[in-house]
Amino acid sequence: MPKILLIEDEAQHILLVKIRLEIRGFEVAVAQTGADGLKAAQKMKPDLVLLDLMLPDMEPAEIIRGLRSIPGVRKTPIIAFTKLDAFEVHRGSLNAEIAEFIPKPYETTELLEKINKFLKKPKNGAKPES
Amino acid sequence: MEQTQNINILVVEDNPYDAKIITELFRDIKNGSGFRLSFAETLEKAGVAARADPPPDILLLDLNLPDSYGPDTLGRAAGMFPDLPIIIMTGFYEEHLGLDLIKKGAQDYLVKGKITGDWLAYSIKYSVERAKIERKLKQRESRLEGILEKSPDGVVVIRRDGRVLFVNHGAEVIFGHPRKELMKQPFSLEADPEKTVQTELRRLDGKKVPLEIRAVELIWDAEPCRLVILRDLSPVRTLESSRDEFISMISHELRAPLTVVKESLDLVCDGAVGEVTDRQKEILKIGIENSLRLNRLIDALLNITKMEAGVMPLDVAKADLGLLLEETEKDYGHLAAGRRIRLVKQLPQAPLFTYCDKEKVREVVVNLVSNALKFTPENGEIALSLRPWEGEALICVEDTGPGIEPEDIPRLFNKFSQVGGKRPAGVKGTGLGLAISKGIVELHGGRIWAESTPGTGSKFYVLLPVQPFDAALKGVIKREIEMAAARNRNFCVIDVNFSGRTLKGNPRAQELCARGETFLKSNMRNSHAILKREEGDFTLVIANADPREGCRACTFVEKGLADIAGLDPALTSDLTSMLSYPVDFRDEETFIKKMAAVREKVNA
Repeated sequence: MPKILLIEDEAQHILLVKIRLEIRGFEVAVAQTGADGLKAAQKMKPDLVLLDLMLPDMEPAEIIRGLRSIPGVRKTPIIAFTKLDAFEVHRGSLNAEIAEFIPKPYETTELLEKINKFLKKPKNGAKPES
Repeated sequence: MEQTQNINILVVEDNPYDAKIITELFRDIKNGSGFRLSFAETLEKAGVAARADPPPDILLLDLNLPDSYGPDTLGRAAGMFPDLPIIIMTGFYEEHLGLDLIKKGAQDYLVKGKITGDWLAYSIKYSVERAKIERKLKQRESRLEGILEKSPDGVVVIRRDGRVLFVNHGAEVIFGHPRKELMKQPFSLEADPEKTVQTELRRLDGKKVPLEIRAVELIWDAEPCRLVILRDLSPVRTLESSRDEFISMISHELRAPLTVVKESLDLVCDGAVGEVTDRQKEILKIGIENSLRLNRLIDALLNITKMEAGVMPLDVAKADLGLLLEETEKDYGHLAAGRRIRLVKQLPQAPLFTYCDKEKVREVVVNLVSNALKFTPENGEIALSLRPWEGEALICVEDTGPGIEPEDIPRLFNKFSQVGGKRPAGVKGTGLGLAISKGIVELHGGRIWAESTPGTGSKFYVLLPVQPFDAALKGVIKREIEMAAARNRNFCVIDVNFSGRTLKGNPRAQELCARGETFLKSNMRNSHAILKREEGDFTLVIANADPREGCRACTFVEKGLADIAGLDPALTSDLTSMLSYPVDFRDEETFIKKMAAVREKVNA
């Protein structure tokens, strides 16, 4: 079962996303702060990280650096929730470790599509089917 | 007649003999009882005497006094008694001195030994009256001056050659210079009596002031001049930018909770958290439907606000308008048939292509068709047509509904104007559809209007320009320049050339171009405009970006595209080129020329 780590501080979002993902057969771990997120990543070695870019305790760049320093998480795809668009995040000097951006508020279908892209292993180079 | 009051005369004269002459002159005057004399030997004593009650109405002044000698005595006396008329009394007549004294403000210049009492009486009466008139004029002038001075708007009078003849305090504040300096320099801002100009003043202290400039022709000292009114728009700009912030706030803060509401209902309705009965499902679906409706309303509000603020993003590409209508007919044919309404289309033989935001134009057509569906009764007909019209494309949606009263037609395209109460029950719109449609059509440089015969039906027309890429780009850049200029902002235009050299001969070019497009559209979502010239080639408009930020955006795009195409990042610098407003261009013509030159260079 593919493992997803959800780092997000809004309890309502957590519940809704977690239920959706679990129905789809993913194992989901949740952390509500950046610090807890790093601990959880160390323990579970997720196949995918869903990261909210607005966490109370840590800057996104710091969390990403933390994740990348954990063996087994160095290349794990990170999908980020953000109010901004990718270029704006880039303007804010966030590094390019983020595989996909999901605008907030997001539609669940959009989220599932993006997750499928990484966990279903699309054919090499081809456009993933939605 | 009036003139019953005494005229109090203060005689400033140190020679007792002369004082005697004057006293005797008054004794000779017929009806001389109206004058009361008092005497002072020096200016200093005159100062004391002037404070007497009643105060003097006029001064008879000798120029040679113990404490003041010669013509300067007038200036001194005038300084001491600014409101009193002064008549100079002298022993000898000197013509040039007399003129000079009158110029300096004396009411009259009389020679003691050569004047009769009556003559002196007239001179005194006329002087007092003149002084009263002068005081009134001065008062009126000072009122007008006060109004001009205190006005927060800058008021400037300029001659034809640009010389500044008048500057008020408001203009001093706006320019940040005292008027003395402003009057030295020729006026350099555009002041056109034909139109109101909005511009930006760059002050020497580095401050930028957004200005509205109006001008009118004016005769100033018998010369044709221009009266220029300058208004500082900074407060207006602050309001506008807080509106822009409001737009982005509303989009997130209203939508975020609504998304959660819908997602929660969806989860339960889908049976994801336990069995749901059909009855429960039915009720949940009402909730879902209404949250969708609320979402549509928020979208519509957001769109109209964006449109009014001029920040509606555009996604321009070559589109086949006939195909668009055909697709709409297909999408709505089923719904129409369900209501026993015939939906027919009339398309031209040759396809009509133009560069436009296809999805936005679709929104307009869909809005017109769904309005028609709402109002057309069973067995009615809706005709969807497209035809070339004097070099433009004319779309028409015609229905056989109840029609619109002539007096309602002008308000049709206003916000929240739901015209006509004949809509079937249960059909609710946002009241914004036509207002948004109008905004979209105008954004494309087109026109939308309605014609109707009550009882027969309505026709809604959309006239869109049929334009090549450069014309569409020019329109977009023109709009962006207007907005940036008005708000004192900058922006960058990035030309992306992905299809050219980089992908030439690559068998996967088509697929890579498509992936490049997806990359641009999802990662540069906040661009004010993305224009697709052809597969793989785009022009992006990035608002509020200086050249440095524009370069950063270029690097970002180059890196993203290099990743997609598997190119060496070192060889990708000609994937993009950038022009920046206002550094590289200030009008759309210059932009088009420069962009063409840049493209040519890249392709060479």
